[in-house]
Amino acid sequence: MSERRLRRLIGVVALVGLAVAAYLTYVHYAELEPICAGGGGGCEKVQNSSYAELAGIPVAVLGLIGYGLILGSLWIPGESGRVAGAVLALVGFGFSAYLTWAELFEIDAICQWCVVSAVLMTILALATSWRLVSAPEQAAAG
Amino acid sequence: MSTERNRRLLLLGGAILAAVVVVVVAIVISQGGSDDDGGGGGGPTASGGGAQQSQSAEVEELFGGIPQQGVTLGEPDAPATLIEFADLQCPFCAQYTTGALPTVIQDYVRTSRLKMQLRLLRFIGPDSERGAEVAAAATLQDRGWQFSDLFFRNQGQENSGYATDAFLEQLARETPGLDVNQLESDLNSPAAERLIRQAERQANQLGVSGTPTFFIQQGNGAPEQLELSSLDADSVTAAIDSALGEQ
Repeated sequence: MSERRLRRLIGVVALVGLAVAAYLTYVHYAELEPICAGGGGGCEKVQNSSYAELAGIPVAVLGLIGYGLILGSLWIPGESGRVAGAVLALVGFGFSAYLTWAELFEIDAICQWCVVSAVLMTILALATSWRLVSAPEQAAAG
Repeated sequence: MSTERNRRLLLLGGAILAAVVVVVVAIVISQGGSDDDGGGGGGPTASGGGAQQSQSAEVEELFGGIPQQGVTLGEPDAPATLIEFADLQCPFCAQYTTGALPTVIQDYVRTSRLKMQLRLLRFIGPDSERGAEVAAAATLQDRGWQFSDLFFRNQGQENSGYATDAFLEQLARETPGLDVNQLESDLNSPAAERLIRQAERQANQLGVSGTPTFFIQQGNGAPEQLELSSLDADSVTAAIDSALGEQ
């Protein structure tokens, strides 16, 4: 996949992630229950669990910051932008994996929004890693 | 070309390593303070005795095997929800809990016709507040129903200051399946406070002015208040049947 296409893919996925995180942040501060397809209360339970915050910061806010930074990294020219994007997406992926583990084995509930975010972060981790490794020679230098 | 590729692979390896370090540090931070769930020990279990033991066993029997997620008791897919607004100090709430609730659980919740939500308010006084705070922390472990049931069974004189730390700790220790160390670290946590505020906001939205007040919500429809002629099991089940259109 070309650099241009990879950038576009990363941009689109990060935008979708930004929208998901923005919704979850709104729901968190408005103290509403997230809309969960099929009901079940999984989202509410996850949102109300001790895993919903990290050092007092809602995970949804961290997601918002993370997706925003990944999006922003697309505008950093050259290799530093690609490295920053990859590190950020890999951190997001690692944290999503941890939260998915917590949902399955600690909270005993699955939040569909978190699953969507985990999938988006996985795509971003793969795309940014591929972009870092496969950048065209002249672009890699600059 | 191949050295360039190797350099980039090395960069990717560095990025993965950096990400692992950041995630591990974040996880350690997130777990700091709530890492104490080994061991059963802890403070004195004020003699307790046979009566408490049997209460605990009764509560276990009442709720045992029923799915519980936060404030919700029952099958998540149940077609309707019975929402109860209660105050732990309210004597009528205790009357309903010890009288009609077992029948409601047996006839409606265990048969997956209803799931139930317990929303605790704290308007009677400080004992309600302390009780609701512990109940909210217990709810984070899906044991709010059990803790509240035990509270109602041991309800004292309204606003007499009976809900002391020792009283609440004793109830927590008697609550089946509750990790007391975890409860203590969850007490007054943002997640627990959120549960209390959610209950109060929902009560305001639905115009709840006293307790116990019940609503039936069919699917995702608007909750409709359940009109009860009395709090005994027959009246409650008749009202539920009527609301469910099963009269």
